[in-house]
Amino acid sequence: MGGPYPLDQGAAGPKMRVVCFANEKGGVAKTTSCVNLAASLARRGKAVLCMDMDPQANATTALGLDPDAAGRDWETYALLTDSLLALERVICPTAVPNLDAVPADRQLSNCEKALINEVGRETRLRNKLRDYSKSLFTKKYDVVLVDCPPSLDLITINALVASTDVIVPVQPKLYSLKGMARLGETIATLYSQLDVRIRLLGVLVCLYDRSACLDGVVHDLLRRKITREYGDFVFHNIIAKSVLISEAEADGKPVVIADPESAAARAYEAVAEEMSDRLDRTQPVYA
Amino acid sequence: MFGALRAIFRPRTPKPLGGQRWVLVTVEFPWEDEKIRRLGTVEDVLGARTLDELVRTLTSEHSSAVDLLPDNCSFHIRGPRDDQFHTTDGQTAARSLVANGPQAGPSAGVHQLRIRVIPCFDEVAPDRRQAERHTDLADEVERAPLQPEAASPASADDAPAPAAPAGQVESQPAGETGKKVRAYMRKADMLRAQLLPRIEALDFAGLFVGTFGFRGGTTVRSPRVSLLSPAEANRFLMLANQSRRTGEWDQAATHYRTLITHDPDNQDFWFLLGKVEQSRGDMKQALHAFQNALRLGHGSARDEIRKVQGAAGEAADEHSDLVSLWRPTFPPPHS
Repeated sequence: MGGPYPLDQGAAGPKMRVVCFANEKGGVAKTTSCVNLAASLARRGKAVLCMDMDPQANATTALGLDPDAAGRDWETYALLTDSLLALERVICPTAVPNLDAVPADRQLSNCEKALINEVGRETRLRNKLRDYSKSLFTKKYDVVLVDCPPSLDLITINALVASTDVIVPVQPKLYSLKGMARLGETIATLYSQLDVRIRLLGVLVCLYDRSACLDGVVHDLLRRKITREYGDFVFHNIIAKSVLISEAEADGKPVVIADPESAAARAYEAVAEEMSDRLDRTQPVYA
Repeated sequence: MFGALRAIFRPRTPKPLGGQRWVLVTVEFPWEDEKIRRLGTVEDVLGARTLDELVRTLTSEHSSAVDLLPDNCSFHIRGPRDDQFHTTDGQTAARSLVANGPQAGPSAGVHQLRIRVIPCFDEVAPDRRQAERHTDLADEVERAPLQPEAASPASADDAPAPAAPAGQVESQPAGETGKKVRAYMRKADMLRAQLLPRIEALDFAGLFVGTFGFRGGTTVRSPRVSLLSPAEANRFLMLANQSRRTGEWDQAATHYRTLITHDPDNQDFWFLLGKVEQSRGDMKQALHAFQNALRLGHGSARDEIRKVQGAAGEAADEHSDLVSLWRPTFPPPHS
């Protein structure tokens, strides 16, 4: 495990930031946020890699890739289970310039069973990213975004261990906040057991319904609590509920590409700007 | 005769609204679609990042408290003392707030802001009759809209050059809109009281261990910070006791829970909450509250726990009797 983790290229070289989108609660727009922010950052000229670690493969579909295409089976599954398979072998280009993807496959759901008796099962993805970063013959990315499944299983733990930062998308509902608290417990365990120092880049409020009184109250209380106790960790921009996002996903495109003038696309662009600002302002903590 | 002349030539003063009044100030952004991206909230406009700063920003001669609402474009302002808060004060306070904001000016579009001032009453109504009177007064104010004032001295003096951000003060919205706004506010307040303890109880400390590390041991405990000032707590206590005396159990329980969030180690709050829950018929919650009061050393809590447990036992006995009476007798199998 030589060298400081994670993905340094020497003292003067750039360092990849690995940002995962995690929340135990499903349906909080993790995948949507990951895909749209990846596309927004790519539009800003950053080299972005989007890794789909969700067996549902929705991020893969949303980026216009077919998870069932011939020759694309078993790839993410094999990436975690086969120690000889390199990351560059499973990277696919997308229709968005500067944006590549690691598509998911449905076999990923069997990954936990395959890894349960393996040594170092929590650090598989981290090792692959480290090897990729150290290689002289691979394309270097500015940001790697990882879409996690809606659970706290071994896949999510691999993603958290491999990441330098985490973004927690939340819907302004109580169950979503409970999922966020559970994620915090997992991160604290990883910190104490594996010395994983993952930073919280921010809490992103998604699926905000402006007409719902409940959403406004929950958002306000959450923002006040986190700001008061920890600091400015809630993204100032919020993602409102919009049917355009779902329509763009059905078309296999992120909404920032399909309809860049829409309010949803502009909201994601604003979050991407805020996100890159936060990435520039903070330094990753290396284990 | 002199009395009649004095009555005729008495200078007209704004009609006092009575009581500790809150008014709702809504700032409407001209860039509705872009407000998320550019300035976001009224806090940004006012240059105040937190509620406390917003309170400090507010001039003390106009109001004593301010409460930012969840839509981040509206805030409540409360009058400093009884019978001394007028709707014009609300307008002046809102205008000076906007004018004093560091981002005020044509570049921020603040000069295009439209400010609505709506009197709100039912938050502080000590009893229902007074609330009805206040509602009538609100309707009266709505029927007679206020005249927009000229630029106030505060906004004219403090406005950055070259253009003075004179917030255009509008009258209250039409009756139907005002009712909708008040209904929304009432619902928001009710939800806030319900959700505040539950969200405050969530522990997000684990998310921050990578940033701050563990603090003082194996786990991060978030500091206990109250959202209520002592004056607010007194007001809630008064309302809670009033609701308990008038038999409005749901409202009383809500207020006591808010007070417990403010001061969870107060045995009296727990005991009174237990009494309210007991009167409401929720014995499980009552038992929980009395047990907390007993844990904190309340002398009478033990007797109340016995009463609650006795009532629960009697209810269980009655229930079992009913079940035995109503249970149909099936023939035994294989008979």
